[in-house]
Amino acid sequence: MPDAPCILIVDDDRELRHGMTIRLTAGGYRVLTAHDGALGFDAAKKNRPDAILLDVRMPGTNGLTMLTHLRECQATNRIPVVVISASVEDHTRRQAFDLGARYFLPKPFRATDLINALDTVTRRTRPDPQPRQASGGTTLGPAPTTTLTP
Amino acid sequence: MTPLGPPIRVLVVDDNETDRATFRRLLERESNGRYDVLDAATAADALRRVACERPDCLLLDYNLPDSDGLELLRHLREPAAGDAIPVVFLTGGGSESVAVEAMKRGAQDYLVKDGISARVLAHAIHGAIERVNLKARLKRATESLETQNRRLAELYETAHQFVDNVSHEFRTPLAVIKEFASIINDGLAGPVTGEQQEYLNIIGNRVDDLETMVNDMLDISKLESGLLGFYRRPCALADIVDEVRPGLQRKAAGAKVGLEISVDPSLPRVYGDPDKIGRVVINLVVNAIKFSSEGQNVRIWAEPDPDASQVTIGVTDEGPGIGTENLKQIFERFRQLGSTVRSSTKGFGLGLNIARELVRLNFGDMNVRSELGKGSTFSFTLPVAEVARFMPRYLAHVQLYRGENFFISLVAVSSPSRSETVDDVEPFLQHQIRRTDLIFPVSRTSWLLVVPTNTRDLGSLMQRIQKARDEANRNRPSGQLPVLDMHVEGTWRVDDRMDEFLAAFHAALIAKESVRA
Repeated sequence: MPDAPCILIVDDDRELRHGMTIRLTAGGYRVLTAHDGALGFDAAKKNRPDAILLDVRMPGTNGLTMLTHLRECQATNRIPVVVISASVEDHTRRQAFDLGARYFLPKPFRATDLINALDTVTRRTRPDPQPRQASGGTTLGPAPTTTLTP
Repeated sequence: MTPLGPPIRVLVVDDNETDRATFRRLLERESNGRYDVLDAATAADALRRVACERPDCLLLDYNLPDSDGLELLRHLREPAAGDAIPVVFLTGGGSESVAVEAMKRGAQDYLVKDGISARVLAHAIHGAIERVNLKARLKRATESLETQNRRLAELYETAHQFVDNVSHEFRTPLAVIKEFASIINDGLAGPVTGEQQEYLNIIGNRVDDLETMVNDMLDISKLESGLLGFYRRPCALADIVDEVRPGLQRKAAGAKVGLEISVDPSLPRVYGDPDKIGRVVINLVVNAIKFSSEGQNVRIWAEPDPDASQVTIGVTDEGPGIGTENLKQIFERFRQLGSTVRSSTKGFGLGLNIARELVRLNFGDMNVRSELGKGSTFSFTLPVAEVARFMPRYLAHVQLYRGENFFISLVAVSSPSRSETVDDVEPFLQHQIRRTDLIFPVSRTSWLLVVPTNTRDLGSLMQRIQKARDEANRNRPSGQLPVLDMHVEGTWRVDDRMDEFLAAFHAALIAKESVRA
């Protein structure tokens, strides 16, 4: 499926990467994976994926650092990022949003929430200014401030 | 006679030789050697003797040839001078103003020189020494308490850090189990039979249970260490219940328990943190399902009080009920009622305790009614979102946490520029305030903070917010947070000035609103 949107998964847990790959492939996405922030950033620059699924705590370069690099780089600063994290503390969440993450899904997340988040960030022509709260207690965050003036 | 310790060394500082001799005579001759008397005729000599001989007490006259007694006292009380030496100041008759000044500068007592008796002198010296000793003991006790408080805070922090790490380490494997169970369940790994699907749902439900336990643990730890942030605002109960409905329906279906929800969308809005209220509903319903048998029903309901001051939200089950003797214990931590619990019941027994704490922090009360064999109703109240309804409860709540003596301040925050990021200011402020503080949006660019304090000083709060803003701005690709103007609108003592506070609060809200209009 050459036209399928491409998702880059960056997570240090091999089995979770595997599971998410199965899920996303079945959901009509092409999938690339990386197991730390440095490799993830390189892959993002090289392949310009349509969205990135990003873990936070990883050995080596962590997710928040990678997010900073993505934002500082011309080639990657517009790629939407969905953060998936087992660190559910408010400050991690806030940092992720401050760095421009579109969604924050606490682990363990539901498959439907994952797919909904990716559908929203990849398929809509203009980002929804108010991402809705997904069901099942998954907290989604404030919208990024890429408002367009008419 | 009482046994004597080592003699008390008294330094008499006086320029008048006759007076020095009089004091020496009074102390030495009439006190059976309890005093060693040293003397000095000048300020310079006195300072030297204080430094070399560390007397136990000073008798200090105002008149000195090279300085005066007050100036010398100032030197002695400088921080660099070390531990305070007890000082009894000596004045001539009719110079009360000098005596008052000496007391202000740290003398322990003063005596008018004319006609001093040995007894009065001894009394003054012992009193002065005792006062300094008491002050030093108090200082040591305070320091030790502060050290212990710091250690406790560190312990809390360490404990919370540990729980946070445990939570993180649990979530990753849970995510993997949940993902693969759903991959099989959704047929992504080949066809699944109905029986297999049923088993996979069991796995899924137990993963949810574990997740709830991890969340409970994290919440208790955050409640305990004061880290659980609150974002209270007017909110609709029907929306909150809608939000948690899907998860609860899955849970009920899994246990083959019916779930009925009757929450009228036209109920008055309540004041509280919607996430926390949702959490309470979840905990109560999960608890009700846990104690229900197959085929029984659990009902979520809400109704306003007759005087419309509050709304009561309840969860009613048809389970075994709770005996009167157990009703008191059920909100305690790690407590589950053994005798009536189904064998499959699980969890830490934290759910009800957390629910009650969260209700308290939303200025409500938790209640339970139950009859053995007929089921239980857990209910909680929330104030209606009108200032006159929730503000008195808020003040009572703060009083409970802070004790009687505290101040309450109104702080106006505004952003002079209408930058794109102005909408990010409120969430930012929410993260900066403590859980006893309230925030009210006044207009799109201004907010009102209600802040209880033990002092009238709000400088540190405002500094903290400005510093956090600078820190946040170092790393915000989505745009810098605007400059924030902050000023204190007023501070009131809580016990007697509440009418004034409420009037000022209303005025601040209205004034800002008219400015916006």
